[in-house]
Amino acid sequence: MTTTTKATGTEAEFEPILAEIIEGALESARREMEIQVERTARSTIVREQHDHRSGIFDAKGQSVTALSFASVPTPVMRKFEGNIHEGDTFIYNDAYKSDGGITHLGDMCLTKPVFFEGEIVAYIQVFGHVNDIGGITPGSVPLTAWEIFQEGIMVPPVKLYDRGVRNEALYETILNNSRFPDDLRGDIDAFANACNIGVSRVIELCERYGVDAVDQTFEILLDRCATTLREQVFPLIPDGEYAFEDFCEYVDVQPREPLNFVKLKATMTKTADEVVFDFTGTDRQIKGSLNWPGNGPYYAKFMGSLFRSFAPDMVVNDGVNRVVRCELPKGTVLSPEFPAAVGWRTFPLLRILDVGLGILGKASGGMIPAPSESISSYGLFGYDRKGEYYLLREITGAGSGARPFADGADTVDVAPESKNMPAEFAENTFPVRIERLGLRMDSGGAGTFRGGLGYYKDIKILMDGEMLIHSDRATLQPWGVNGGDAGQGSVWLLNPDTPEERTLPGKSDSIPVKAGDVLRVLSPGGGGWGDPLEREVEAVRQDVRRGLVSSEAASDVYGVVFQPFDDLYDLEVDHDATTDRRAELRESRAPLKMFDRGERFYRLVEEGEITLTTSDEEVGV
Amino acid sequence: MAELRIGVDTGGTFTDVLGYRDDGSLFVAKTPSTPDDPTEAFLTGVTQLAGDSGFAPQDVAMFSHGTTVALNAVLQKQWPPLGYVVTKGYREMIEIARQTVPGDWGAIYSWVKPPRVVPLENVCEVSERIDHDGEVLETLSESDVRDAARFYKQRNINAVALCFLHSYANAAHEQKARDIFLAEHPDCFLTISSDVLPEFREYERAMTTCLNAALTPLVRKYLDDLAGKLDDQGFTAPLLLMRSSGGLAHHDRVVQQPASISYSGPSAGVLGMAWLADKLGEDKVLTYDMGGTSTDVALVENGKPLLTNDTLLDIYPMGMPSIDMVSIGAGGGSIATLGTADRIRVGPESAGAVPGPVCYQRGGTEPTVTDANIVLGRIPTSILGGDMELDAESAHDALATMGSKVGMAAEEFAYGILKLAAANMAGAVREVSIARGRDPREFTLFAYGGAGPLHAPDLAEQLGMKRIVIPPNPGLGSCIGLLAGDITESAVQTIKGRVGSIDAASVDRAFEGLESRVRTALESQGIAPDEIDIDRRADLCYVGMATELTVEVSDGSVDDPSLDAAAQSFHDEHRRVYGYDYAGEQEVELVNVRVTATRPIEPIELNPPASAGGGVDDAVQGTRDVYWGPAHGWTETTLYDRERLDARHELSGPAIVTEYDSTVLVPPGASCSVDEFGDLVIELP
Repeated sequence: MTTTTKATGTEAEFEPILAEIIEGALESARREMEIQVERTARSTIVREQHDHRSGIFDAKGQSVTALSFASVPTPVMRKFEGNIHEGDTFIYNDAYKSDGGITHLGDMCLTKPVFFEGEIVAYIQVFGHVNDIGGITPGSVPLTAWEIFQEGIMVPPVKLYDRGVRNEALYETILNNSRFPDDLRGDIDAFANACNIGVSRVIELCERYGVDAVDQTFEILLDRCATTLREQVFPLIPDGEYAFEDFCEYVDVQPREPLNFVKLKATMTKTADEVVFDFTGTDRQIKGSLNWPGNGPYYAKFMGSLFRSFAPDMVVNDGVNRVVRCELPKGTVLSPEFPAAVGWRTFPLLRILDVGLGILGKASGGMIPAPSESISSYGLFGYDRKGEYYLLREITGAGSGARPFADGADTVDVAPESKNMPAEFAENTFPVRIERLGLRMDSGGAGTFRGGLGYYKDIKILMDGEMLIHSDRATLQPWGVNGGDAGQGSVWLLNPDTPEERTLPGKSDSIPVKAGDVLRVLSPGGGGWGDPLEREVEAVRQDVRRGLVSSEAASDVYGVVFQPFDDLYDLEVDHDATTDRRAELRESRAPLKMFDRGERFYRLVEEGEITLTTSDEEVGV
Repeated sequence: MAELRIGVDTGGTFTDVLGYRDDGSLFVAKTPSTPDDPTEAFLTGVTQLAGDSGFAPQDVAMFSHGTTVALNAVLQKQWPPLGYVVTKGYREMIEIARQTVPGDWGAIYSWVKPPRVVPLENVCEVSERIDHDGEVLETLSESDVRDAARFYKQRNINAVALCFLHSYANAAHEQKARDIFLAEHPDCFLTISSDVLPEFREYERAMTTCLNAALTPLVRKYLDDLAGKLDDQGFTAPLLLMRSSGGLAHHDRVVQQPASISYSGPSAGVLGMAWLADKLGEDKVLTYDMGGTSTDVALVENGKPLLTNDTLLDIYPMGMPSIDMVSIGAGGGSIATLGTADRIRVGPESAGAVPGPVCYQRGGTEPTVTDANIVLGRIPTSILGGDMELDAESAHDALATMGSKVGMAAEEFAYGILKLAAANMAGAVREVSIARGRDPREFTLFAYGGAGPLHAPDLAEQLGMKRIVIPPNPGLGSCIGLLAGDITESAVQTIKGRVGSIDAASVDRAFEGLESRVRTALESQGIAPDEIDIDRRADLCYVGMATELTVEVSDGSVDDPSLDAAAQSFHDEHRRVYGYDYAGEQEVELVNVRVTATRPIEPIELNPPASAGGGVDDAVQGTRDVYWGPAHGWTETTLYDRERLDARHELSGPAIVTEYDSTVLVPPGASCSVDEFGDLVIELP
């Protein structure tokens, strides 16, 4: 319950310090909400994958806390103007009624106003990617949907709690649409209770410092984000126009499209005071679910996050919209029109990060991390030994891209603090056996700094059932930067090393599997950075000794030759042979590129499958 | 002849020694620490104490020790070459860890994977497989084990961790592998995971096992040295170590679980406050230890610290029980900085002892929390009994310079820095309290450590707390804890199943197994069976959750009603911590069972402090102008000598009470009284 104690804030406090204190309290409240969500939610995507976010917004609906891919309360504010009361909690997941904040139906979003002395002073919002909300496939992110109606229950902004009283009919109806109603209930309740924490914290701040001080701080925080970008980040980027494009795969997926690769293009125009991203050149929306229904302000926040590498301390909030603007033609995969399917907007979301990196790479002469493809997922579903319906879903990490200062990390996930599924948990819970949990040798793109290695995971399936695979960069590899090689793309094998071995499509909603089948997951390696022949010889020796790079690759790609050995442990470099080998490779190879997308990519360009309108050789200003 | 119990706490700068005689008297010795060989300071301090108190070695009944050897070894990555033996197919599991990038969105671009505990070339695979029910799917390859043992022997790798999949469900393969391995490589320190932490989730179990193996040679050497030297000097008393869990254990037991003493010192501090809380009848206490670089906070309820089984040791997960403590980089040396858009930050960077705060005049130029304190008149310019002079003027200049950039005078800026430092610490308190379903406003703040008493009112104010207790000699909090601990032994076992369908008899057997295990461990330390108390708990969750809550399980054999009772306790705990539950609506799953055996140690009972014999006015040393914030400005403040304050003395703020190693603030409007044990009790307005 909320209280309405009189403000006790004193004018005696000092503005700059007070803003810091309130900011600290807001960020700590956000973390507190997120911790509560992770402890109580059931969805593995929320819990292990950290696909959820809590936010605090000012009374105008502007986010004042750190965000990444966050929702906004404006749809609720608009629809319920004059009808928002203390104790109300709103729920929605309709991607087309979310002002671009919730971009696929799996993200269930709860909104709660904060009342202080009878006035709304802030909004709290928590959303997370729940396990299942119906639709045509378990897990509710079908690739094969061609309309949003097929992707699960679509909840417009409505009141789940009216003045503290839950609308049981609505609650029951939503839960009734899930294949796993207990899980969905656990998730929605987790979000609702996290909202309550946020409300209490903001009220406490108002009681303590006065509502004016809190409000003023909101404005300071928004302004600070804009100022930091303008004064600290923009001077580091030369003014100019930079364009980059990258692609999502849409090979052999139903519903069919004439294209196999979906282009995302952005042009950044940077001046002293403003950055504009123009997405002209991006492909039109497609029939399948790879559409991402964001809007300008949303993409500005998303792209703005890329600038954090220039100002790691910066809290990216709605203030970013004061200096970063996004322009979108209508009806593209980044601006689809209702009722386009949107479930796998995750692929363009990941790809846009790479487009942003490419743009910054052009602006900085390649001083950027190489990309990775660190969210792929597979699922197994069917009935377990007890006859209960189950869905195992895991997001597998991948090697991260190499940086101008370090190797990429092995098998990590772009979502920070996310976790894989322990083998002992999987085997206790689902009819599977994890036979191998390892790293994929030679998968990291070669370079002065090597891309991180992808996963090598063998999952033995113990009961007949079905499998889904949702991945990208099977054909188009994570590119290398500044002379570095591309990392290896993803590969999914069924029954590897047997006569029945077959390569599975990277995108599929339903592959029948039988007891005894083995799925091998080989996730992508990160792109490399810099000339591989410049890599420290000792680093190559350690990689080979540790089984991360083969001795063949050491010789063929890195030009490092070893003395004859019986045991890798005792591996020693043949320095003379290495010098010769490196000289020989340097002579014979093609000129290095700023961006190297891998052989397959350029072949597709030659064959006319892919049109590239920007140059990969160009090294910026 | 009266018996003496001696607590020795090795800190970064000083080693504190506290002797307690069973007639209630207390003796104190303090000596500089000797990091290269901590046994030196240990013995110097003990000799000093014996000299002061006139005791012979045979009068000492017990040594109780808090040490940082294990923690320092981990923080400085100083352990001998380590090997790791794992089920075939899992060679790279530690490299992958949990595929986690720590930090915030975008961290994947900047985070560099740190070296793992074991380099990959030192990992050996062994063919074997057991499933989650403990069924053997593939028999142990004895030749693989022998090959691994030879591999390490040849390369002179003498500390090895062994962790097979699902060994919590069936330890047979690990045990057999251990026997084969040791026959081949007898001088190796081999740790098997089913001995250390028979709990499911392979990565966390493997890491705990690896850390334990890594620390074994070092901790064993240190404890053998120490025990040997004590023996040489004629001491016959047992040497006990404080563990992270707040329980004591004999040194020869600790050698088997060296990772269990990682947070020895800080845990002793919390335990000291728990002892005090119990004595004062304070049932809800927040302990607050602030030093030069860091701050530790913990909760104590009904005289007992809250425990957790899920901590980080540096960057490594550690599954052994420890006091649930949150530590942040906020201390006297924390530096204030100005960022873009006038962003003001305090810490976590610290000036440390060198160059130290500006006022130390050792080359420090960035203003710190200590500089803010001196500029505001909160601490004297001469400290440690006159051994150290502080330069208020240079501190003032540094703060004035930085403050002017945001339009603030030196004292306003200094005051703001202290508020901000307190706000940072309040965040840590929220993590141990609000995030655990506790409201800090209902708690009393127990402040200790060098800087705790000085910052306690600011912290309390941030959190809406009203009551602060500051024990005498706040710098000695850890030593008291060493004397107040009991001998304990804990064990955990994963046993998964839904309440209602799991076989109660199998749960009962699991408890029995654990109980016999912890009893054996205590009895091997010379403790009689009838001196042992048993505490049983279980970790439960709703089906589909991945985070468990721990609840008590009743004594006696486990049957369906007692499991139902445990499930009900889980519903209650879920409601208390998270605000709601699903009693009667969703199924509850049992995950782990836990048993702790305790051999209580005779509680210490101190004599009331000697009376100084005067009135409260006799304790007044003078006055000083102190800046108490913009509402009060510079105010003449009375200074008291804590040595001269007696029980039942009362004073009111603004006042400052000083003693040898700490300064206590009583803000305007607050009152302070001295209780019968010499504790200062501050009530905030």
